[in-house]
Amino acid sequence: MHIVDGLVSPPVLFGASAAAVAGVALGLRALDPDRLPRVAMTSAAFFVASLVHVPIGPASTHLMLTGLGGLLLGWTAFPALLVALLLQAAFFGFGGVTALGVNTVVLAVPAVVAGAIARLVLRWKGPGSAFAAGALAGGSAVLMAAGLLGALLAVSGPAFVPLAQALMAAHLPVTIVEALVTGAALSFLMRVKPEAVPVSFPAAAAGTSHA
Amino acid sequence: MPRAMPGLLRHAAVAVLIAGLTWSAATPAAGHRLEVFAVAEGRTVSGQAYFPRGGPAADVPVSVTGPDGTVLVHLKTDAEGRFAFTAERRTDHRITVRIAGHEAHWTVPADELPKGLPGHTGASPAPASPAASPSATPPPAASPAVPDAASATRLEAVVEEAVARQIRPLREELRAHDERIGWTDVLGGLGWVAGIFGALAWVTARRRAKTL
Repeated sequence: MHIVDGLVSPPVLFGASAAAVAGVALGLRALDPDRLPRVAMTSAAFFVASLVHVPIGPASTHLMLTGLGGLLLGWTAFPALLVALLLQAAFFGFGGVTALGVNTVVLAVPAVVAGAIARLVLRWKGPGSAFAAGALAGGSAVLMAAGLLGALLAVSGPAFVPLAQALMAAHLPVTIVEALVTGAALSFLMRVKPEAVPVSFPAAAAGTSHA
Repeated sequence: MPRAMPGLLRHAAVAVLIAGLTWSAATPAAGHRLEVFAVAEGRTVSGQAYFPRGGPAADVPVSVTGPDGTVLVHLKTDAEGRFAFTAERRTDHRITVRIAGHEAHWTVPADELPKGLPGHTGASPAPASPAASPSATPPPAASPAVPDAASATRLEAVVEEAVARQIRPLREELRAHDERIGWTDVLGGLGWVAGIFGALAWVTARRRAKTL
């Protein structure tokens, strides 16, 4: 879902780019230097995710992993996504360079929101809800991103409204796939490396046994 | 809470997962870009709009403009993303395809089109024979010369069209080869991620050391 240069109107472009700068600044401030390797890995995962294609019938779609990134990183998902988007534009030609701000905002804002909600669910329901929380994060991040992009396009010009609607419809299969993949990834993470997930479980930690 | 796996197994599992994802990324995957490509065979310009490694761009509007921006042709791709039109003039034809936020261009240069076509001014080119006068009154003495010049031009056009047809598959293959995303691209991007975050880590470590 990377848009190319020259698609959105200048006011939208400037507004979104300013929002991206603010988001990245917030993300860098929230960055704990000890967690840098984790951020780097997530950024690498974003970069590679769009190359992992999932066939759906005759067509195919690709992963975004923004829900998972928002869950793991919170606001730091902004710089992680920006780096990945910049490299994708440079290496693969996905998306325009001037549209970087727009693309970052479209993917990172839903990532942060979906991640926060999923973390709340995970904390509330406990580690057993890892799959459900992951699915919620992944699916809602994709839907919100499609909706946000559609809204930005619609604001750019009324001619874009049918395009915005088509976007939402086109992303429904991706939503399902992303939800499944994120759910599986999160439950995998909770079992393999639970300290990577920034959720403090109330009182349950006392019962954990480490071999 | 389910017991965490023993250390080595955990790390092995994560490593396998990452390797698997990276491997599947480097195999042919759905591209996100839109591309268009067209070749002139004689007067017929035919091409295809597609997503690299992702399939054809079916039923997509195609607009063809001349060098001054005027729209020459307006058409749509078929179910396989292909389109074709007949060039009327020997000018650059800029083909633009637009779909859902993606845009792609391809220009068919004027010299790929047959020399017999009128140029952008609309004037017909002068006949090849040096002794030719305006076509209204061909001198009877020169009539053996005119058919030779005309057939030579025709032969040239036929040969050019045949050659274009023959090398077309080569050009398409070359283009597909150029567009492949391989291991080197993925690893290059990952290297940059490591470099950027490594630099960031170095900077923050220095800042911390200073404040101690």
